[in-house]
Amino acid sequence: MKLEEIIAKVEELPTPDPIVQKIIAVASDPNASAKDLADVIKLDPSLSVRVLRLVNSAYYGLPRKIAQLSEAVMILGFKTVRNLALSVFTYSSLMRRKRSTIDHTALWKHFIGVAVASELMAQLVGYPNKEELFVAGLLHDIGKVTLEFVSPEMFAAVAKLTKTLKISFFEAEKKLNLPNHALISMKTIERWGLPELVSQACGGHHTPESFSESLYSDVISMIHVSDFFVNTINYGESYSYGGFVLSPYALNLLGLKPRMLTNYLKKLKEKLMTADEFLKIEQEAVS
Amino acid sequence: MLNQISSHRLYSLLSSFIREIMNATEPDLLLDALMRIFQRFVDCEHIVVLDKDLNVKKIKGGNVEIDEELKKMVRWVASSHSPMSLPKQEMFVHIFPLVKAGKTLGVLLAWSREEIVVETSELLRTFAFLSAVVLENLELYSSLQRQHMVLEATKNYMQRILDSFPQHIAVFDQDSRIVFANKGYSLSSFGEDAVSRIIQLVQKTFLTGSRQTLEVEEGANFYSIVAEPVEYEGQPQVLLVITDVTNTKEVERLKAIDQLKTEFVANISHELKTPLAAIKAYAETILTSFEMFDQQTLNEFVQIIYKESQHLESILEGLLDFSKLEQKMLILEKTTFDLTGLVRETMRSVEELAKSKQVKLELLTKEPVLIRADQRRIRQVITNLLSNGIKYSKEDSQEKYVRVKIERKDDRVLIEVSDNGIGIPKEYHEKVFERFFRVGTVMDHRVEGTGLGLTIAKQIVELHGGRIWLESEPGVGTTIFVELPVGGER
Repeated sequence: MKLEEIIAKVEELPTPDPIVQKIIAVASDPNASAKDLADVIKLDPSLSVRVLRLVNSAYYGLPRKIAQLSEAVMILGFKTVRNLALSVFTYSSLMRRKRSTIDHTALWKHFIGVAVASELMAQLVGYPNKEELFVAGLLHDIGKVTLEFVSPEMFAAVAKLTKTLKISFFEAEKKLNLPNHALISMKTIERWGLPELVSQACGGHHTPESFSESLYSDVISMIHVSDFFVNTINYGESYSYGGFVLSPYALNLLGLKPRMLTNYLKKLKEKLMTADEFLKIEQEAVS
Repeated sequence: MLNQISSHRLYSLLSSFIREIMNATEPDLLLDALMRIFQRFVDCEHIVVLDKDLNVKKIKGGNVEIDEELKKMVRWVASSHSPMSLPKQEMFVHIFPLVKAGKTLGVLLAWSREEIVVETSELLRTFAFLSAVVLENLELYSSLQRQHMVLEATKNYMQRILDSFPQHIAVFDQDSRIVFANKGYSLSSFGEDAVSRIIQLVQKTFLTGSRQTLEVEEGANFYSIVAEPVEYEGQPQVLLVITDVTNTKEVERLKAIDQLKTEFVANISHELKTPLAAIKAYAETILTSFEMFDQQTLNEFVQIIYKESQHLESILEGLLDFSKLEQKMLILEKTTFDLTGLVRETMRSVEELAKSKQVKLELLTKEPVLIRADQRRIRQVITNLLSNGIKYSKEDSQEKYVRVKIERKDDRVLIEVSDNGIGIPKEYHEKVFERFFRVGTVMDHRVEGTGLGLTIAKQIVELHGGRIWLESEPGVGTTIFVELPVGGER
């Protein structure tokens, strides 16, 4: 199956509902105020509740409880609140397919792991716009979900190959002559109307060196390195069973030294312990 | 919206900010620039900058209270590196971290009545990050400057200590250039020869990599010189310390002279006592038992008394000569005479001593050599040299001799007195000419003598404008050379 065919099918994928689309639009409006964003989220009461729960989770560790969405937007920032809304949406669309062959819970854990790791990486290398890294990390493997949606058989074939040959998902796709999931992620995200930074970061996360001319080459490298570490510590499940490669190009670009990485890994483990709330977004909110 | 920015305005604000931070030479000026740019984007009533320990560093727009809740939020911002706008009593407190690569260097708090839109917030966050980079550099720069000042002060302090040393202290690099010197260091008081020896010492220290020492005598002063290898920034250097040890040396010399004088007095007493005892014993014998001796025996006794008194006289004369020479009161009475003849005569006078020691006296020169000098004094010198040669012969050896050779060389005469006696160890070659010194005091007490003979001989020779020196090997023999100017008429 060719990329075009898959892309054609992507059109049939569930797009974020109008509220999430509006959230993305407001968060991207340079002149939006906190109230504007809060007003949009409030349109979906269940979303509001879940977003507020994440705002008050251990991951942010705010010194006091926040009860109002507009307050949350001011204190945590537009993009963080947008990210939370997007997380809730992604989680829901992932969990909706109950009959799927994939372990969605484990894949979601991988998404959150890379989101947390990427935001931490931004802090480590001194990249101010760390919220965009969170969302890019969150969505970097969304292409796998797309592939499974378009063709569960193909996904199963790739998953089987990576397991038996102990190779990465990316290599297995190559062996089966399939378009790689990173590119599918990119296409999916473009459709969702998220910033170019996010779509490109996801598109290049397995091949940072081939994106060296991109405006976002540093962001791509950060996602790549973060994905590598989350895979190595077995946080969640990415359907890759080996063959993880850390690109020297990415390390050089970011100026990462082994000592920094050791320190990073230690902090990442601590940070992931606080991210539990992200793993059970639906559970209570359903009731 | 209230704080919407036109790109034109943005560029001019950016330009001003860049200009200001470029010119900031200290953290304070940088923070001023940062506060100004905040003021231009947001209408702030107060701006406060906290340092990395969250203590107030700068305030603009009057004092403002930071309560416990706000403090907690500030700490959260500092640790999460995320900016925050906190609604507070109809106002907003905008909190921005100053972050450099994962490190919070400070926090900026701005109070305004207006909200900040997304774009402004992103921009201000970028400014805060940019400032942090410059801030860190400035802080590093000022800490470097402080360190530099401390270093400078330490250096001056050490220099003062080293300057107060009486020693000359200097450090040389591999090209023998001085890289450090204390105030007292100077080679100007040394002669060319000493300077080149000192430089050689430094070079030798570089070559061997080990400590080298040298003693230099310059005029009336003695210097002890030590060169020691040191290392600076991986480069070998040499530390040179020159100490004036004149006072120490002078004391040592006086002590040695004192010691020699004590020995001399003991020696001379012994020397005087021997002939005196003989004279006294024979005189007493004659007085008490005069009639019991026959004419011949009496004659022998009186002969002995006469000879011993002559010996006594010669010792006393020697002493007198010595003291005259010491006080520079000796006046030469020069006449022209045949040196060969004088030596032959002198040999005859010590013949008996030679016989008693079985030493053969030989004069290798037959032809007369005329010289103008003080005959009596020259005879004294020759006598001394001959009797030394005889006295210091090897007791158990066969074929003992003392040979004299006289040679005329241009306007000078060289007298060689050589023997095959016990010889003189090399370290004493110079010392034997010094006052009171006898190799015997070190080596042998059996030989009689005042220890003044060679000293007097040397002074006499030098008074004549000549030189005296020796070549000797222990166990083989000694040759003494006396070189005299022919003098006067030629």
